[in-house]
Amino acid sequence: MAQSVSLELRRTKAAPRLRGLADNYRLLGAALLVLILAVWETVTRLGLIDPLILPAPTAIAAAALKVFVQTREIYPHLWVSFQEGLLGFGLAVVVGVPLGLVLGRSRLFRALFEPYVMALYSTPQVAFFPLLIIALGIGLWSKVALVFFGAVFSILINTQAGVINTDRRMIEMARSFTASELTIFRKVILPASVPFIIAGMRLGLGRALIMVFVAELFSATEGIGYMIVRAGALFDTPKLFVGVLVMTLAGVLISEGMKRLEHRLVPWLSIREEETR
Amino acid sequence: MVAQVGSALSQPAPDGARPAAVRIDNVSHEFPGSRQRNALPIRALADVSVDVPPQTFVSIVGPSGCGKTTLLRIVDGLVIPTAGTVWIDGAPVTGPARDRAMVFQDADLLPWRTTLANVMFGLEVHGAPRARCEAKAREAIARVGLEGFEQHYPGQLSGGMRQRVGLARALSTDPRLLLMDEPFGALDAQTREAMQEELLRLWEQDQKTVVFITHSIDEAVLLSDVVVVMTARPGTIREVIPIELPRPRWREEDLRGDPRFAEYRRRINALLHESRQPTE
Repeated sequence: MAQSVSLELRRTKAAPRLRGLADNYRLLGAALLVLILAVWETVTRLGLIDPLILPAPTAIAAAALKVFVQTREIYPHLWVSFQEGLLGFGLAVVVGVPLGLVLGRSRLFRALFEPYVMALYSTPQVAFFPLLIIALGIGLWSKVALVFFGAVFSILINTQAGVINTDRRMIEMARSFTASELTIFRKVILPASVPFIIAGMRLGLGRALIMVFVAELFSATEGIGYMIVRAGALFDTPKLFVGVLVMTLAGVLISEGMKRLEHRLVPWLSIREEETR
Repeated sequence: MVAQVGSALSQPAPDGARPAAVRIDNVSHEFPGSRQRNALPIRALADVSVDVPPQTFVSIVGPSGCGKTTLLRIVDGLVIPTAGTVWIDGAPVTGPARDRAMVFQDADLLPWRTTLANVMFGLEVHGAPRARCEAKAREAIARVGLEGFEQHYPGQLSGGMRQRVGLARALSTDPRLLLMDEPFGALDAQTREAMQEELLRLWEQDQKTVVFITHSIDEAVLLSDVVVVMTARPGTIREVIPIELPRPRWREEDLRGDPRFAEYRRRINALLHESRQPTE
């Protein structure tokens, strides 16, 4: 009797300490960030690292203040990059999803076109850029086209995989209820493919972001990528960092946004994951 | 020669779809062999003939691979046999139709639909107006005892509950013929027994014609009016055994202990054991 009581006491003593730690993870994370920034600031102030290579956080903050509030020069750059990304990615979705569905559905189309798709996908898309400039000029559209090429294959290939991977038993079940081919496509194959399509879009988004930057690297007079390159050329490293951080932030926000979208479009997927945990 | 399956029932069905009579007429089926290995075609079924009067609950048992599932799919119209015909109330089966419904071993629920939406699927595909789909679906959900779970996703349901959704989906279309392919095969023993009892209760209510495939001899004897025993591949009918146990079966206290039950079990077991000897 006495033994079981002492075991219980031991358990309750340990428990609150562990629980307290778990609640503190956020606090610990924030503390770590502050620590990193403090060390960073000190190291550059002491001149241990050349501020040309790694400016102090305060210098970066000052540069950010300048471009966002004082000169407001960053906004046109943001707008241009945003346009390139949105148009290029939007076109990739509008073209990639239907083509992916067709290729998934039709063995004939797959046999005819898959080799070309794989060839284009395997080529580093950046290699197309000079050709795109010749065709579309050095303005917005050659960059939109490059972003499009960067994203479209991920979307197409993943959509196709979604269609092909639809469980045959679900299709047969639908057939047993006398569903037509069209009904089967609308009510079974398409919904089943949505997780794949979203996965393809996430991958495509990542590549689109890279392509925005690369396109501006090559030839641009506007855009965040351009701002970064020009700041580098002028050795204005704080401004360079501001540009890079803006792109990082954009990437993170988009990624979060896609996660939220996925949770809304495919609630059943996360429910299933919860259950198996 | 057509195997006659007697009907043990004389009660008329309540209003609703009139239960179907099924006649399987000299059905044979071959699957093409693997093209890569230039293999010979696989003879799944050889000259199967069975006559099923309306309102009969027929179970089909047989060794693994004897073609039971293929036969069921042929009756449903999902597979066109290489020889022979299936007649339902005198009309030949040429493809899937609205007057029959199938319950699959894995329920095959659409994971992105809630229970209610899944049960509505059958009628939706038939083109019924939405209000009617929903009303019939709710009715069927109540009949299988899943009230309160309409908004759950399949991922949140247990195996037994998923099977009940599959059953509700089939029932909501008011089929004249119900085809069930080892629906309780993937369930644990206790859930399985509970589901058998529920199925018996449901069947008593409208006594549809049911063709039921199972590996469990006990299940076959418990549920059916007639048990059809098949041979190993290529599957043919070994024997047709009418089950003369009183209905309603779920009222009997532990029917499985009844000596008549044991005798049927013994007979069927003996037949299956024979079938397991290699014949070719």
